[in-house]
Amino acid sequence: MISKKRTHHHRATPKFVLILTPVFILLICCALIILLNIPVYNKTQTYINVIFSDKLKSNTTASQSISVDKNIKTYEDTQADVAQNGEIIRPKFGDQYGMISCDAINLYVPLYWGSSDTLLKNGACQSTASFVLGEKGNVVISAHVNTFFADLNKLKENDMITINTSYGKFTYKVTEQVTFEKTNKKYVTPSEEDKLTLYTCVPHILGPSDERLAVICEPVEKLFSNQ
Amino acid sequence: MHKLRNYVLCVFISIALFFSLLATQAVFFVKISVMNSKSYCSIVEEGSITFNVYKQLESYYDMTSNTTGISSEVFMNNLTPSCLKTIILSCIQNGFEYINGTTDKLEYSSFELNGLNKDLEQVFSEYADDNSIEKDAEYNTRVNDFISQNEAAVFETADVYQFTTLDKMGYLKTMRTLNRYFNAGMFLSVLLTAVLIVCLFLANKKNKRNCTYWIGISLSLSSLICLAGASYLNFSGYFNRFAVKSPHIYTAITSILHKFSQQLIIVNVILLAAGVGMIVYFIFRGKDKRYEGMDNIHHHRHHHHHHSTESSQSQQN
Repeated sequence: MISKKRTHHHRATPKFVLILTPVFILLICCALIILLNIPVYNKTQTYINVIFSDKLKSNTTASQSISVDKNIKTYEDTQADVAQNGEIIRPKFGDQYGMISCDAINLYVPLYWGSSDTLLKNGACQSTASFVLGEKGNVVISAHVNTFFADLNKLKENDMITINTSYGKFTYKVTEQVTFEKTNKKYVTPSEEDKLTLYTCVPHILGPSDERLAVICEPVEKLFSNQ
Repeated sequence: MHKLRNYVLCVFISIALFFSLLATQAVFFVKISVMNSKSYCSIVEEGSITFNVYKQLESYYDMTSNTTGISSEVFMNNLTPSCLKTIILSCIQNGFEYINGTTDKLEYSSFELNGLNKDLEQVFSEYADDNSIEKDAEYNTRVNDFISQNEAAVFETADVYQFTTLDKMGYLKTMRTLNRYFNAGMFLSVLLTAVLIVCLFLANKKNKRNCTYWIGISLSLSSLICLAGASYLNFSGYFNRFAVKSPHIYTAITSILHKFSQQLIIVNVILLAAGVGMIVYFIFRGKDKRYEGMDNIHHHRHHHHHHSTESSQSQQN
């Protein structure tokens, strides 16, 4: 007698189930990954955005932020028609907007608006925090002691310094020479006192110099060109 | 109903296995590749990083020569590319020795800079002689200070992976602490994966070949997720957005990130192929041969008769 046992029907799993199951599991796993990573992403989003913030896709070499125009402008031809008052043309960062000259120390140096390693290699640099030439306030200009301002310490009282720009000619007279620590910002911060401050490092072979030499000048004449 | 319950159980185990495989892969990848100094040293061996460090130091000494009066040639004649490569590699080795707990402090040997230091002492001595400067204790102190500062500047530039910066911010100590637990992490992740695979076998003890299907799903999906992420990061140029644009640091960091993502791509292509292979194997060979005959008879009898005689079939089997 054959006992009638119930046996299981071993039907093959439908193919669509075999195909849809991985898709179903993938959706669940992706949802879980997103849910679990939301708090982590919220905490780290700022750091990641800062670390990978450069969307300009620049190449692997350090790109220069400014390019220096090698054609030096002397601005001596702008002095034909001048007046005591006139318009100040604010330069852009990196512009060579003037020429500094001083007969006493044979100084004849291009003047750039802004300061960077590249600009300091090419001339004297004016601090963008200082007043533009022609405005009433402290005009602060620096240069390397080994190059353009090598003889700055030879300036004496009453020596004349002239700066020609695209919009006028400005003449100053040396009043004093001071030495100060680089951390002392007294001579290089903006002030409403109308003056010109030229400064450079005090050279020291044994390490970077902590001292600065400044030449303070008072304005003698301001002539704006009529354009 | 039983089959449905079994199916749902296998889905849950498969999802757990998915995460377990992800965790195992992550732990092994970090231990074998990310925390291995050889990955970083191989990037340096390619040469572009050494060149960038050389140029960086050259422009640094060009700039400082304006204030110190010391020509950059004094420095660069000693800091040759081969000397710099040795220094860069030693910075990396020292960093990982600290992370791995071999050393207790992050410090660099200035052996490679002995030649440069001697030249600098010579320059100062000649300057002192020319300018009648007394070589007293203060002079010696200032010379030693300058040499120390110069060494620090060289190591700071050669430390392209910024171990010193990471140490100052406390991240290196954290990595050192975590590193102690990586071996345990590897063991636990492998153990968890093994347990889940055993669970799958137990859930499919009547048809063990089903396990290849479920394991294949977990393996292929976990590798697919990793592959998608690594491919996006590697080919979209995301790493080029790295904010630090100093050439030597930029090249070092983006190169190692690209290397890691490429390694992940290769490993996960292999794992994905293995996972898909297991699924395909199941689809074409997954039915247990023991039941193949039953299916055919059942189909035949069902086709000609509406009721099957299961007991006689089971007796025959």
